[in-house]
Amino acid sequence: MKEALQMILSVSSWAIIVYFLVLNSFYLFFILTSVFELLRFRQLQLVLKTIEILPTPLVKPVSIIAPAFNEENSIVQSVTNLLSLDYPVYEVIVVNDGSTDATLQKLVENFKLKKVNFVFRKVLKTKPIRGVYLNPDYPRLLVVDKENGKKADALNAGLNLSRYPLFCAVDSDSVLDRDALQKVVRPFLEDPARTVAAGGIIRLSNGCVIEKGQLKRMAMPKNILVRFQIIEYLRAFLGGRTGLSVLNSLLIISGAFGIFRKDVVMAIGGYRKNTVGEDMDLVVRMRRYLHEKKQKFRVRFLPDPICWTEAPSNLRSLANQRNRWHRGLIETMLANGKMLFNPRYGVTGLLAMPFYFLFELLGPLIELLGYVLFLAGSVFGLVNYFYAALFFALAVGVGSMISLSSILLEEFSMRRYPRTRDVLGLLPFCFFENIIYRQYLSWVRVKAFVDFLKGKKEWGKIEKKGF
Amino acid sequence: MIENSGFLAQKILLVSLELLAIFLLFLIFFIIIYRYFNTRRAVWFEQNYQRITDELLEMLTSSDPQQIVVVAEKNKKLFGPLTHALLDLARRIKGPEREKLSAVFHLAAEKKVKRYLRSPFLIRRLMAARLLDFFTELPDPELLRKLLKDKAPVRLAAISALARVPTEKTVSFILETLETDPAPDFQTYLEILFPLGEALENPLRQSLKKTLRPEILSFYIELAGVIPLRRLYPDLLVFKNSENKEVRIKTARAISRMELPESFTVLLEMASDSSWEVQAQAILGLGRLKNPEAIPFLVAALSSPYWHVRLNAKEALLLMGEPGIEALRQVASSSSDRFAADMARMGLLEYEEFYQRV
Repeated sequence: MKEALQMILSVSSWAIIVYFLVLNSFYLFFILTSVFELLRFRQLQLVLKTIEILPTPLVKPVSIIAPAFNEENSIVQSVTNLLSLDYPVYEVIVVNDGSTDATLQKLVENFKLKKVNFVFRKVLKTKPIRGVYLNPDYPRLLVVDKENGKKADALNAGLNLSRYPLFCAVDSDSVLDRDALQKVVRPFLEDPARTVAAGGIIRLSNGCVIEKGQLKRMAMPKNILVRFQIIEYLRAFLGGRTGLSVLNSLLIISGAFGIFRKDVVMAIGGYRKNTVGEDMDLVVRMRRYLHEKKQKFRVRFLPDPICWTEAPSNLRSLANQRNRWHRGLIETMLANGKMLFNPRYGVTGLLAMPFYFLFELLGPLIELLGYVLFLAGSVFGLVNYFYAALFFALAVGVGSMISLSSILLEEFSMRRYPRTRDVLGLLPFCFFENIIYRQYLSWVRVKAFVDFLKGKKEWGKIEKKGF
Repeated sequence: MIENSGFLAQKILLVSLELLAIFLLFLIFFIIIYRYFNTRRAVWFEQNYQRITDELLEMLTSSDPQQIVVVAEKNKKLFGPLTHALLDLARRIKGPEREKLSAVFHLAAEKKVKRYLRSPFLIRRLMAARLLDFFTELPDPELLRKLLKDKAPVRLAAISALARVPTEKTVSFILETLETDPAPDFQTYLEILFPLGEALENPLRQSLKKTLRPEILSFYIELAGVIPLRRLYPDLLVFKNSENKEVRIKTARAISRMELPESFTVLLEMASDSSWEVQAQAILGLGRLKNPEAIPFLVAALSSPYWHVRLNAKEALLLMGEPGIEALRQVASSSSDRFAADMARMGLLEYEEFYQRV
């Protein structure tokens, strides 16, 4: 019995070690790719001036769609921000998705909106629209009030009302840099035939000063949980997404800030409604459609156009957010399982989908398996503790190195933190992130599997203070 | 992790851990050093940029032409800040003052930028492409063609730089580049030429008189219609009987877009062309002119054996307004031609839907 268990533990341990090596090799590869890309991007940024292109007719008009559900604390700031972007032709469509608070009233009062009869083509099916609000003094703003149908449904309603060939999906609790739109639209000007989607970097606004819808001062938040998330976001965006974008394997354009070609999104029927990960789902379905049509395309990530969003600052909110993200990933993978390891879907089927499936989706389960094996081995006296401690230290070291590299990537790209002490303040978190925070999030993501099997479709409440 | 794991594995792990710790320390040190030097570089750039901008502004307001030489000589070694300052000012300044900026560029940077245009490094080519509109003499067409087929950022910079300069000299140069381009990307040329608008008229008139490849000629005719350059109408008439069908199609389309009342008889003639594509374009033009004399002809076109001709005849009748709608009603209710009646009914449905929406 003991020998059999020893055998199982031995094989599983080696499998986990191999998994650990392959996973970290991927991360290191992405970081190396990102280093080159970000250095190139930084150099380009010194020379590129999108503002030079803006007066020419090359620039495409954009519809910004901002779904809002119970955002009374931040909606006015966010809409003010969206209306003050530097871009020649755009419209802002705020979709009030059946809010139960004063979101709509705040919008109506602040922007002095009036209910109008608005005619549009209902191409995508959505929950009924209760009213459309306009004010000629704000010709760019259109507010749509509809019955609650969740975020994807609200975005589809916005798509029905949008007029322009590109649309930008923005969270209504986020703030965009004034030049973010002109920067994110650049791939569509440079390579209009192939670019179908592009996304900018999401940064955390906690600790920053935002006035009149614009970021005034950037600073490091005091909340430890938010600092961990800053490292995570830097790693995910500057390391992961930049690397994946270079390999044309990007599967996610963040729902908080992404721009898409409307014709392609309409061709796939808009956002899928019964999912909690509508952003990833959209990009995966776009890729699937374009591969099936045998069209060449690119999905781009740009590290410069910045969207500021508030991160959860307590454990419960963080757990709810990550649980939802993981359920969204599971749903998307299951709905598009056909693409997995399928050469018909090119780099998406052979690299992007397997990477997300093996390392993002199954990652927490494998990690949990490692801890279970360790406990089982301990019970039966099969663990070499010195060896185990070394392995754990190595894992923490590699994790810290990857996190530190993401700070270096930030230095290579935008250097948004003006004070050196802010950057130094982040360094210890690169280490501690791998000790408790990471294990906690793995547990949250394992729980997401259980919630998924139970059929949970809730978004989960995330407490936000607003700007 | 298992008890019998070998001593060697432990040794490897220990060494790896030591190396990793050293590397982590190196990373932290590198981040701090990199940040320090980068900050200094940014400050240096900003200070020089600001100083050069001030000097350029002073030069622009000065009546002493020697100032141009002084500013150029003083700053020609500061290539980065100088070109940035020049471009930023040029965006806001037009007229003779801009010529002064061009003179500074010519004295201080043009030679270097011309070398950069041929550089193997993307950044240098990009920098040079952005400055194209400053050149006292544009580079040769071969080089410009290469830029327009370069990587996306360079291509876009070249397009936007050229599109900013609506002088006849620039336009003639771009047209010459296109005419000698063995495999032109017409979309790229359209993006450059379209914003130039009326400035295209004379150079385009000259080019239309040349013997050109049909695809280039077709592109020019299309361009004249898209902008539209109505004064080129007489120049387009010579192509209405061209032997090349593509040229005739583009001519019909361009003339249609010009919406000139005097083009009525020409469009009527082209609507009976041997090619259905030409017919379809001319028929749409007849609708745009809203001349009721075309109605019998358009009604007859509803019975064309070609679907596109029937479709455009329906569109043209809708564009005519009330008399056209009435003609569609009659065809829908009394035509013996099932296809014509179907097309007319479709037109009426569209009209009703539009009317309801309005």
